[in-house]
Amino acid sequence: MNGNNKESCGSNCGCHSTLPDGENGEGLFSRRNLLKGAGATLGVAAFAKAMAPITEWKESTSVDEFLQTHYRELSKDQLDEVIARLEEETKNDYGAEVNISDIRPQKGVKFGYALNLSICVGCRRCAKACHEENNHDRASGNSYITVLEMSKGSMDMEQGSADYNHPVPQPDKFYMPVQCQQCENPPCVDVCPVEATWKESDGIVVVDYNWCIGCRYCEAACPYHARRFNWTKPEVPKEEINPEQGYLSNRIRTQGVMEKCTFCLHRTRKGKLPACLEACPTGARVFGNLLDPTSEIRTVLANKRVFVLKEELGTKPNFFYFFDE
Amino acid sequence: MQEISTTGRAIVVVAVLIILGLLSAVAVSYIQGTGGAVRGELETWTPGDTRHPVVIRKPDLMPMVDSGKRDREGKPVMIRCNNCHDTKKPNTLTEDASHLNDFHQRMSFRHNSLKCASCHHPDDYESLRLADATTVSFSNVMQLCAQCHGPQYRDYKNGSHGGMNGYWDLSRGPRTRNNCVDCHDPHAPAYPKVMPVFPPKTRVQSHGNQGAAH
Repeated sequence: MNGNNKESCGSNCGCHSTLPDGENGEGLFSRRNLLKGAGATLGVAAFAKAMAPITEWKESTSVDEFLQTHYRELSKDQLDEVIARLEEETKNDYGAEVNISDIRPQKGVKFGYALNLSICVGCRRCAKACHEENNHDRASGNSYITVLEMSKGSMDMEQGSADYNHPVPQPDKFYMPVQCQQCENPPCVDVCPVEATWKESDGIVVVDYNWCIGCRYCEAACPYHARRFNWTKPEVPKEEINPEQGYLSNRIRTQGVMEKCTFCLHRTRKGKLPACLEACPTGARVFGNLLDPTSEIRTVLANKRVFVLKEELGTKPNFFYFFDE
Repeated sequence: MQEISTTGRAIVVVAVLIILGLLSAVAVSYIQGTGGAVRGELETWTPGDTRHPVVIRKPDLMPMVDSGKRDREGKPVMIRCNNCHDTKKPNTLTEDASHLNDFHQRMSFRHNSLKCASCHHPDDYESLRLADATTVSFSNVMQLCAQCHGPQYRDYKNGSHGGMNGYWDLSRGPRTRNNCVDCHDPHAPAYPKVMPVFPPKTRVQSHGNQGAAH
């Protein structure tokens, strides 16, 4: 820096116009001018990049959607507007009349799920029912349930095979459907940088699809491979869309957001059984209220030899597995 | 003089920025609207409030046997059990279709070493008979199965065996449950092997025999 020039700030801000004449003798291509030019170019480029989301503003992104706040901060009127907008968008995009509801958890209810590995035959009907109930992308065949074919004697779910395609059950195998375990201590919630996913009072871990930024940290954090990412805009034929939808569950997601099993909260918060349970032909699945001492799920927990997946991680699942004796 | 004008310019710029910020904040809050009512209080689940029934599906009261003949409309001619068994003398040792001269020929029997008369009432083939000689109707078949399959019946009663539909919360709706013979053929009760539906297409983990290709 030129020691005798107090005003020089070293940047391209025009304050150098007051420089003593002696400075001008160094010519247009002096090192200083070149550096200033390079700095200005980089600055402009960075500014343009930062503004890119505005220049790439799509017709499909409405001002309301852009300004929508977090689900838990929406007032009732705001949420009603959001839901009306989402129903309208579904009609425009998919041609289907849908009913999106926002059902809150009940006090005194905490959902638990148990699965009898002795009678699960691995038919994958639960995964299919999930696919249809939750308006999953037809192209990718997405489902919140992965049914693993396991070798008898092994309890390591990482060794399970998910793409078996032969008559089931095989005599030396057992079948373990894995879906979101609705952990008491969910690592996926801890890692979310924007709090787009959280645990509700009835134990269900939910995602605000409109708040999710799609960073997929939660997918990496989940030890049960239970979270799914929408790589593309979901394709669902109009006539196959399930019109009974929940804001936090099976409404059609957008591209670039995470999703997960919600124990069908649009059904279960109305008292109904989840779709995967109704589809199960063997009755391997037991669902109910953990806070009700007379419930089927409590009877299973009290009388069966129950275990949870990857207990050593301390996630404390609300999804239990058991074998008949 | 120069110093004063620079400072003055800076103050003006800062002031303009503050005013712009305030204006945009007001605009955003106006666009979002401050909204009205608070979202509803949570309702409370009441224990023991079971207003709706658990309905167990019942098999048809009267099983029929296919005669192998067709009527004028091409429908199979079905025959009631007692059409024949009223007059036939029961053979309590029969355990296989190969023992019989007519009817029941295509049925397969793989239910341990049970005889026909282990379950069917030999004096009235339109009902069933328990081991203690109690007569039960076909619609109450579960009572018969439970004689030997106690653990399964216990699990069924506890809700951890057998498919169901409807409501987990009986205060809000009923539940329908399958009975034993909805899923198990009483003459060959082992659950049959099936081809799995819905082969996965997603990028699921592919371990085990497929290698570790993600």
